[in-house]
Amino acid sequence: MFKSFLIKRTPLIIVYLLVLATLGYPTEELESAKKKQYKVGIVYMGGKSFSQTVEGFKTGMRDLGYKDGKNIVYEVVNTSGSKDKIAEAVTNVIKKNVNVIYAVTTLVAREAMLQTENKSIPIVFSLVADPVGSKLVKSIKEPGGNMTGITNRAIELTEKRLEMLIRIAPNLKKVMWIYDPNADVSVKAAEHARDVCKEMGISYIEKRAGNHDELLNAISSIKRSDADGILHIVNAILVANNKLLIDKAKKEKIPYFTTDSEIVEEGALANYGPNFYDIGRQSARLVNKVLMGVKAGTIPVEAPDKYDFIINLKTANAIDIKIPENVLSITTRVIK
Amino acid sequence: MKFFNFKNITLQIIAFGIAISLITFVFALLIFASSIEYIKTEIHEHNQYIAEDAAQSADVFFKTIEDNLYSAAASYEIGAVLEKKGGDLLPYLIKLPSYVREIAAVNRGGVEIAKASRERFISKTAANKKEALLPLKVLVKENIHFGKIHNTDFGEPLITVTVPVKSGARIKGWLSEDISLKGFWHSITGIHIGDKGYIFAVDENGRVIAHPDWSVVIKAVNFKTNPQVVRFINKWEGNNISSYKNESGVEVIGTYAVSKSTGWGIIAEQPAKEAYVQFYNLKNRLLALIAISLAFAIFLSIYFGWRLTSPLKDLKKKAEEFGKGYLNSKISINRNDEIGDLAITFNNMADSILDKTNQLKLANKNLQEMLGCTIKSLATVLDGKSSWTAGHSERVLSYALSIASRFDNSTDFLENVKICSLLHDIGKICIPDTVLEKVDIFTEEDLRIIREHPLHGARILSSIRQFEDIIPVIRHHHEHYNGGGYPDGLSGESIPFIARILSVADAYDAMTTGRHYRKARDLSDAIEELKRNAGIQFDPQIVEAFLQIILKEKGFISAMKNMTVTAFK
Repeated sequence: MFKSFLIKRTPLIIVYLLVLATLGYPTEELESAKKKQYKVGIVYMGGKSFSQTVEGFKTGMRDLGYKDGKNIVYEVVNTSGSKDKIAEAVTNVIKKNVNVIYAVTTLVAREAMLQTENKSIPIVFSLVADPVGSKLVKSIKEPGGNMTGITNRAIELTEKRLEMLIRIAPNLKKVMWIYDPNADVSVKAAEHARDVCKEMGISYIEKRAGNHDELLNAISSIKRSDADGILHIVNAILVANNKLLIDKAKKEKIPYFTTDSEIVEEGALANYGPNFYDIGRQSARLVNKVLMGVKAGTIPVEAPDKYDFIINLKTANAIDIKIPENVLSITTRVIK
Repeated sequence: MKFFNFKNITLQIIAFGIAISLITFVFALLIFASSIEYIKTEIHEHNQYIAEDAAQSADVFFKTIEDNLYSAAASYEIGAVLEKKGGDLLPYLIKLPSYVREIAAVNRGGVEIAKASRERFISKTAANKKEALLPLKVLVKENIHFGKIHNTDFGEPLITVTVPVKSGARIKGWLSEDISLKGFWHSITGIHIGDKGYIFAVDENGRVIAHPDWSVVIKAVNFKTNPQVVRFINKWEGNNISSYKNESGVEVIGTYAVSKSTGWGIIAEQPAKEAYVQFYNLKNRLLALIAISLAFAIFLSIYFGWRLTSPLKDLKKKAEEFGKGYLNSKISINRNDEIGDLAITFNNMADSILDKTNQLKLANKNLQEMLGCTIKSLATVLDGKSSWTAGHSERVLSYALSIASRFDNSTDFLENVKICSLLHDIGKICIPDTVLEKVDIFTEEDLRIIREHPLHGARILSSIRQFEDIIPVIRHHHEHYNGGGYPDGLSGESIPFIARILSVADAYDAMTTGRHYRKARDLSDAIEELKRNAGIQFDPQIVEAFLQIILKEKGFISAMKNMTVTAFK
């Protein structure tokens, strides 16, 4: 029976085996490797500034050859300014089995670190003022653990900001700042500012504001006679209520030198520091390295590649300050 | 087993199939082997190209820095700062590309007189420090000096580049820039060759200055054991491709290129496994093809071998049957090829042989019948010679057959018994009727004549070659078991068996039929006589058999008495 079956079906069997042999053989092993799709979880708190960072990050990834939806997929969670939702957002992103978490700001980075303690998901952060002080990394050069990122050097740049403020207002004798005694970063920034003032021979006045009410009091108590300029040092509560200080500074005609371009656009006089978009773009290359298999903990934390110097001329006019020509010529941008 | 003698057609075909496919694959392998070098060269050239491209972009990068420095050195601002022995360099710095992190103006004596930074506030007192590290002599000689790469607190690689600021041929001072290599190194170490290939850079001493794994740079690992680094340091010329195990123990193919403006080595490494993936794919595909084709060759060989040999086996089986006499054997193979022809020929041959055999059988049957009739005629003639012996041969035949069938039932034997029975007294033809029909008591002379009849019989039949076996029986059917018979006085087993049977049958018939010189004895007398003479005249074995026949079959004797001549069919 079987023999006769074989005789009748032999040509069919041969064709069938040939087709199997041709179709079945895996030809393009390398192709499949190239088509690997990575998943990046992005957690940020929303708002125009942070959105720019995310936008810059995506642009940076595109420049490095990642095509959205093809070889890379982003799981973006925006907590819409809420700090309380960060933990939930990070949990959601981890659930989606991402290859790396891109954490914008210290709060998100810390939450991500806590939740990935027993996991091997690497984290790349940005807009972190003091990664060592915030205990995200062991050291800048060798972060260790599963984390690396870009610091915006918010504390260290205080001296540069003061220097720039002096260039705008050459007659500056006394500077004022408000810091949050409950936040380590803010205290550190204040210490740094004091040292710089001593070095530059400028006197200063400090206001402490540990909560919202204290901040309102501090701001409302500012008078023209208090200081020749206001220096923004790292202070999360102040950022949240910046508009009050901007208005007060305008009213009292005191130059307000700040950290981020956002605040200048809102009406502060000037800022010196990295811009959000460039920071995002710069962090793309760290994420790329991590995706390529480099251990995050071995990649040194980076400082920003470039800094912007922005002056708001409208504010300058409002507070009757004439910006020297040589200062205007070195600005990155002037808001008219 | 005779496997290796290839006496089996299927095996021969399989061997042939495998041999053909192996030859094909030897050719395929030869072609493959000749293309290996080509493929490898292509891959190597590609990697070499990437390394050289990276080296070239390093050259371009540093050429730009050089040009920028020269033009800065020739600028009004720097000249003014040096003339005034102080001034603000920050506005000038900020206008420079962002990878220039710091800038300093140094007077002829090597003292910094102005300095600006993008990140630090530099007080005038800090700027007025003697720059001890600046190798003035070297500077004068080199016109441009690239310092050692050093890392900031951030692990950011910086290189200090210094150029002289001239007024005509006179050196006024120096301009020094701290250039951040971070972005540039990122662009170099970010280059991927395939998925896992990468590029790193070493300085002229083999110290890693750029590597995708930045921790290697931070730890200032020396790669002096890397074969490509060694080649680079020794300024190896010629084909610089080589395959080796790198620091992580991975087999890589490496190549290097030199950045001419800096003297650094750019080394490209790619895991051999990945680099040669095409090559491995091809090899795997070829091996798979060989395996599949061999399987096909074997499969087809077995199939065709089986197709060829199975009808042959059938043919052989039928031929054997035919040989054994089953002449009706036919082969049922319905094929259009030579094997089909062979089957038809075989069947035709079988038909024709069967036909001839039947003709022969018929002729033989006729001959046999003729022989039988002839013998019967002779016997009739013989029996008719004397009125006393009518039906004698028929009855002897009947008794003899009964006895003989007790000992041997074969046709040939019984046939011989039959012929012997009918012809045993043929010799009596030569006995004159006067003797045979004599009413008186036989004289000595008469008995001598009568006792010659076995000899006459033997002589008569001696001319018939086919009666070879019968002649001794005829000759000795009157011998006695104890040796007292005639003509030769043989005894016991030396008397032919059929002759011994005939002796009993003949004597019994003689006793139970009347003769012209005496009356027939009755049955019990005859039996007594036989018993008495067993071992003397007769073979006791035969007597016993005959007595059993007589006793067993009641009415046997009476039936015999009335028997008519019906022995021959």
